[in-house]
Amino acid sequence: MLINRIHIDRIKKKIAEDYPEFKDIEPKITEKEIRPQDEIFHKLDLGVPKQFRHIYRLKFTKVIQTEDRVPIDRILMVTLDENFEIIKITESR
Amino acid sequence: MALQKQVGNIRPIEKSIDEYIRSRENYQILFYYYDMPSKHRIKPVKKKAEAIRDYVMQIERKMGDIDFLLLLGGDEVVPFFRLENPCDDADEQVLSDSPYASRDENYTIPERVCARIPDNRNADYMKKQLAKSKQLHKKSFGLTAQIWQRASEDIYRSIGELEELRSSPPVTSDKFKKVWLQKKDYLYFNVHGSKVSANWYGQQGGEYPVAMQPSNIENASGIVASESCYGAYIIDKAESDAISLKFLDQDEVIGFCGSTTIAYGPVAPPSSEADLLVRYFFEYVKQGFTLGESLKNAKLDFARKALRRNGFLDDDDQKTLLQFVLYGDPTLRLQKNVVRS
Repeated sequence: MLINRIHIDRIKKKIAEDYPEFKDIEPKITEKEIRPQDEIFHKLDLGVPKQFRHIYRLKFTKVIQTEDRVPIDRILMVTLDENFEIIKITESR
Repeated sequence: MALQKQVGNIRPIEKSIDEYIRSRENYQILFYYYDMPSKHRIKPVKKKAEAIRDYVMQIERKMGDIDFLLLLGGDEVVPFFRLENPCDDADEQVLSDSPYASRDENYTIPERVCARIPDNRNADYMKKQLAKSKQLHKKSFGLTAQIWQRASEDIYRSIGELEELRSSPPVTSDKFKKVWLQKKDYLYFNVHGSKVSANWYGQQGGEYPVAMQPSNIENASGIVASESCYGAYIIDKAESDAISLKFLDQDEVIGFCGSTTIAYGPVAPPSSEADLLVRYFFEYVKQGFTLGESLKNAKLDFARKALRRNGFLDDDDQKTLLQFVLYGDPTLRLQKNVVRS
């Protein structure tokens, strides 16, 4: 299912409130189908789940300058599940 | 020979390796030049990561499973793997030692310990790494970007008292006290880093001060873990422009665990990505495991945790597993109460 504007705007509003440095940045949106990662489960001696997963990623990026004028990519990634609920929010270090 | 090209006369290093092997009575240690004929009739290979990995696999087939693999030299001697970057970010590839730690093509999950002693184009620098030890001091130090204070506290609790964890700002390199890094067991950093700068940076809002630079390090001690982007990036760097190499130049810094590329983590608990990996790493070191086992076990636990949480390893989980490397002797441990694996 394609992510619609309502969900995108909801995430953007949350990011603007919680992470103001990324306010007004338009995220790059990708979606991905994740197949069961059999090899990884097998290597870890875990039972393999059979279902496919569908995730969406909203990537907010900007380039900042440090005090000594070094450019650094700042990346904030929001991962959503099939129901457009946030799984996690991570930032570049 | 690749190592000789980097450091010149290799006899002193060979002597140190002999001493190292003699001093590790509990290990059966074999030393090979991948680009020279060996007594076990393994054909020399070219200076390519894939070929060197095949060489390691040949040793395993002839001599039995390798539990610990120590690579001697930086990228010019034993090249990092250049892996496809699972994340959509500025890194074209992920510099990684993970394939050396894996017996199959799924490099995210290690099967053997793998660490590296960077050459820093200096034989004495390498010799020093092979003869390190440290006293226990029962004190730690941490430095976090102010915006990640809460996330960092969650990790720091396992290694020290929260009042030892400093944040930047207000800490900046010109206010940094060298004594903070001295007589410590654990040194933890959750700050910004850059491929092109020697410095690490703090953050408060839109302010990114220089939190720390190589010259802040003098007589430091402990095991260092850093989450900063490019914290373990050492290509064409020396101790004057890489904090990782400067730390390893200290007599009592026994290892450095960090990321070769852009790393990720949460702003606040619960820990994930780099935060979670470093947290597990410290927990294993604290339990008395060797540094090498601690990183290997941390990666396994990290993967299990991500799978339990979400049912899969996503792009940044995979990148985290591939990008974190260990520099230093993987057989060293911090605690005297030894955990035998």
